[in-house]
Amino acid sequence: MNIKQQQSQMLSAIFSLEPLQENSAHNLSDVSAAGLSIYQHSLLANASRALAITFATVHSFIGKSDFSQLVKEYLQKHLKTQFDWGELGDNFPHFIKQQSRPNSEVLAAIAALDFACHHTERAENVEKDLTTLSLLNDVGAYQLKLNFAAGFKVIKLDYPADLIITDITNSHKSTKADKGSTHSTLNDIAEQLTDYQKGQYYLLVWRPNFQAQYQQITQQEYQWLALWQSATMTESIEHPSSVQPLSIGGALDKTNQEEFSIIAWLPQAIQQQLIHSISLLTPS
Amino acid sequence: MFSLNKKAPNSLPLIGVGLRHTHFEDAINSPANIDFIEVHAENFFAKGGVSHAVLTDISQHYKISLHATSLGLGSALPAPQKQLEQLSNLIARYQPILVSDHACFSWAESQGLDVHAGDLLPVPFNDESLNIMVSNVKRAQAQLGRQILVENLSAYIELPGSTYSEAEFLVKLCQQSGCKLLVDLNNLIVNAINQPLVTLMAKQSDSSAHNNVLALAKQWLENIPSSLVGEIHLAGCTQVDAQQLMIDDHSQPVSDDVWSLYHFALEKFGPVATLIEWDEDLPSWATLIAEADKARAIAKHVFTNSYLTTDEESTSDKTPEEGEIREY
Repeated sequence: MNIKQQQSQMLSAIFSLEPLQENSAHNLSDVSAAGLSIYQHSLLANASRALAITFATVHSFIGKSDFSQLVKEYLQKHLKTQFDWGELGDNFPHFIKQQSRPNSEVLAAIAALDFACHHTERAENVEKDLTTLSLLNDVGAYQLKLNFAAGFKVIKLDYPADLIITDITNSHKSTKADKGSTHSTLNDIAEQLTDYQKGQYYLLVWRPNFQAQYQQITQQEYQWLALWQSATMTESIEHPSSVQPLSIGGALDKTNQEEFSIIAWLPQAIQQQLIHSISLLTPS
Repeated sequence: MFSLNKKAPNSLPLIGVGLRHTHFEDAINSPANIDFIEVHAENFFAKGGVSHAVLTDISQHYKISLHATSLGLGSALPAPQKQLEQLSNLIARYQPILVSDHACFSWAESQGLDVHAGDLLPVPFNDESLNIMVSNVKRAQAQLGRQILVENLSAYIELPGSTYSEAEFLVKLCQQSGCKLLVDLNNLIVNAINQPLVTLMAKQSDSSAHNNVLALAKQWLENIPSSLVGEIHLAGCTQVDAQQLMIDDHSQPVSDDVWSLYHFALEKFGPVATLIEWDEDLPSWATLIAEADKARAIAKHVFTNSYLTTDEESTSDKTPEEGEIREY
């Protein structure tokens, strides 16, 4: 067996998260079972710690023990292909959704919002220059573009995760006031999640400074912001000269202006620090 | 036989501490008498956000050392280019005085995917893994535009197929790749304690076991030329019963054995940059800094006083130049 095969076998044995004797397929009888167990515990502990940061709300709602069990099952099904622990978990919400536990779809919506917030908080910083707002008075809308706060994104969820988080957090606060403890489990939370209606909910996530914020938005705002999100993503991936940039005028042309009013939206977006600056389009 | 070592380098080693999230505020608000801060590079792989704001603040007060834990320099499956680029960007941004990673593997193929272990996994010490590690270290140094330090592991499994001792392997690695070593003294102690269990032998329980641990660790150091050592790590870990593997959890003050070994290492290697690592059950900032003060006191004792050594050979491979402070 060459080194490449040896390393593959050892890694597979660790990710099985099962004791050595049950790993006959891994052909590692010549290593210490206790040693392998240390690496397995380390993997689970590190993954639980990393995912507890990324999915902070889910972790706080279901408690450390159930969260670790969920992480163990997740790692057994989804190998870690990222070198950065901060990037682990992109399909954790989908994994939660597929669990046969009651209300796992609702918990998955909370996880999806957690993941969006986590990514927003790690996004590249964006310079803020509100003096550029004056360009709106001086330059035509087809020559201007909006520059959004770091990591801004819009997501579509099956459940109103923002309202659910507020409700459960408030309920935990009252429990703590009454009983002095907020300890809860996956089953406790599953019971609390039964009252929410499945539907289509649109959320905006952005980062005015360092902490991500989120709020529910209308379908019309979602469509308007999705245009900008798509343009921002394309610009960051493609070479600027190969991209047809999105202007304010161009975005408005693609939006149903009977349902969306930029006049009403813009002052609010500026106040919320969703927009960090306005700039002239670079001619393509 | 005792010999009086009168050689005293004109500088002391740089002394630093590993900085973890809990101490960010203390490090900024209560600047300590330390020469550098070491951070885990991967904790700053995000493109932006609060972590960089904090590290930028901290870099105004202290020199930075970047300690990576994810390259997996011994992996037969090489690290993706993106990973090296992220480390390279971090180096460009913070201009660290030291950059290091480990003599381990982390990347391997499983179920048709390139999988990262998220851990420091051991390699056998033979020519096949040496060639792989030399190639990976050279690639990393070319991408990063600088020499890196490679740290010895605490290993809980001994993979079959070794034809060299760990020390021999690491010396060859340095000679063939141009890297230097980050010698973790606690890892040497942990490996010496665990060796009977890791090699599937009965653990020694008689009174000579403890002496053997220090002797094994010192023997390891004896095999490393001074010119190859670029940094020393000091740490402590949870004690365990006989028949249990000791885990290098960095959760305790530096142990007496490690302090003893540090004294020996300074005598042998000269004033090498030294770091206190404490990653679990973190103490107060003041306690952490007190550990750094203790390291400095030992270094002062070694380098500013004439001192007696019971082992004249311990400094025998040192040239006059090597006794001087190294620049990083």
